[in-house]
Amino acid sequence: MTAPPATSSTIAIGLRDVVKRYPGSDIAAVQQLSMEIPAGELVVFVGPSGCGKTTTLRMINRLEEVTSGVILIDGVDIKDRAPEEVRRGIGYVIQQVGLFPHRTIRDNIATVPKLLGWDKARIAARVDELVDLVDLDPTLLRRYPAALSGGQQQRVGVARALAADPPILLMDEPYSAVDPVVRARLQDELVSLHQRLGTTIVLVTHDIDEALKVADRIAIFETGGRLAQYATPDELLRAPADAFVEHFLGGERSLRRLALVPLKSVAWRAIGAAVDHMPSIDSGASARQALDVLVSSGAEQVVITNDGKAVGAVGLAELTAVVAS
Amino acid sequence: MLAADANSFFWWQWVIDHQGTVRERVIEHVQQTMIAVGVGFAIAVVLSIIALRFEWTARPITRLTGIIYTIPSLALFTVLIPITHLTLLTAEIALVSYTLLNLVPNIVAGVQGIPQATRDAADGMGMGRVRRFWSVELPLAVPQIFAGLRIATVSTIGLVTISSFVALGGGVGSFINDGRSRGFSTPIVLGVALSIILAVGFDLLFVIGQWLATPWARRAR
Repeated sequence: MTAPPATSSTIAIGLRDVVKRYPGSDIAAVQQLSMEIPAGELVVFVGPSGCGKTTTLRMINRLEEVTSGVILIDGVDIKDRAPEEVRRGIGYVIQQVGLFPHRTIRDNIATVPKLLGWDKARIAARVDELVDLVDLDPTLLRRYPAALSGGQQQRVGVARALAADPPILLMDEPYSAVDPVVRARLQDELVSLHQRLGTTIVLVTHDIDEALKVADRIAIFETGGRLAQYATPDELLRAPADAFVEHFLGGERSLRRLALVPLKSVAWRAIGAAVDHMPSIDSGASARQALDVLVSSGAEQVVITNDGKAVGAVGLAELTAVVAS
Repeated sequence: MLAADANSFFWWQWVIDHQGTVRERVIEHVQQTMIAVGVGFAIAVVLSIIALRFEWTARPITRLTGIIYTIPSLALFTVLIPITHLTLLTAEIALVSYTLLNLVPNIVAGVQGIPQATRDAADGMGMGRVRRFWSVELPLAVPQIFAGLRIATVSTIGLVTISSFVALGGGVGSFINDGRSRGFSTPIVLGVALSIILAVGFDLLFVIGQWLATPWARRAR
């Protein structure tokens, strides 16, 4: 399976012919996997259980060792460095969060800086910075993990992973244990965090909608450790590589593509004279939301507004063009 | 019942007259207990580290501690006396051996019972095996380690009492011995009462100690 050429010039993580075989098992958990993860991108590994996505993630920080093949971080084979050293340079977030119950939130967040031998003042300043970054109530710093809600714990988990400002962040099903409302919020926060920090993020999930929502690029794994397709969300929905990918993506692919497209990037039509009685939508919405307004109002076009002022309009023709391209 | 003569069940004046000896015996009892539990704990930590590090040794080690425990204490004292004679060492060898049964399985189970996610997180953060043990696994096993220490200490207090029957060291058991040989009930009651007070007192100390050592476990979830 060949990966699409990276848009960015630098490759953060490179996998070459990686195979993982567990002792006593005939079938490889990961087979002949080659892919490149561009620096600064948010890449999501998605697939059914047993597809090797978590194994692949854990091979990147050497929690699992490759059976054969090479994994490069910034062009250096991770086998050339001590596992502990590799891991201290990579943030790691897991589903069960795994906060240390006997340490305060402050000490949990400070784990890696302490391992790296930072001085106290630097650690304290960094913790305060991180609390801000992940939007955590600072009064929680003195508490122990048991006193926090699931969503708060997950935020602390992310802060702890980002503490030493690692260039790479690995996240293993980070949101599958929190309720849907909190999950949606944490996903939004992740996207904005990623935009602000520019960290290379690899996230594992079994939820294709989560993948489509947050990813710059998605790797779909098939049971048995085969990489079925590696592409941007839009490419995936437009042109699934095979029947497996198509089935895994599910229905309503055109609608879901529209959901990925911000209205701002749709070619608008000029607005006519009378726009007062037409339905309107803010320019910050998605193409799918515009379609929803179109369908529910029965109007021929929806007026796009910017700060309440009409700036253009879209009709079915423009929205169809988005999906056709 | 608390009449003021030697024929009564408990003669308070006798205790007051012998308060110097009482203090001495209590201190002796506490010392012998602390030596046994202290040395036992040190050995137990070493055995537990071996059992945890080399998994195949876990079963033989915990089995061995169990077998030692089944040897009746008086019999063990008697067997040891020809080798180490009527010394404190004899008593301590036996006492230390008995503490291991309560300590080793508790330390091992305490560390093994830590959630895999916590261990995974520690590895993922880049902690080495040694650091993970001392700064994550051992602290989290504290509640179970304390549970082991409590049982070990309370049973050692009882065994120190028994050790005085074979004239090994003293402790408050020597009052019981003394009273039995003279047919005098006051020292017997005193010895029994002091044994109980010591056991309950130490148990309480451990409860407080555990409360202080595990601040994270104080608030209910």
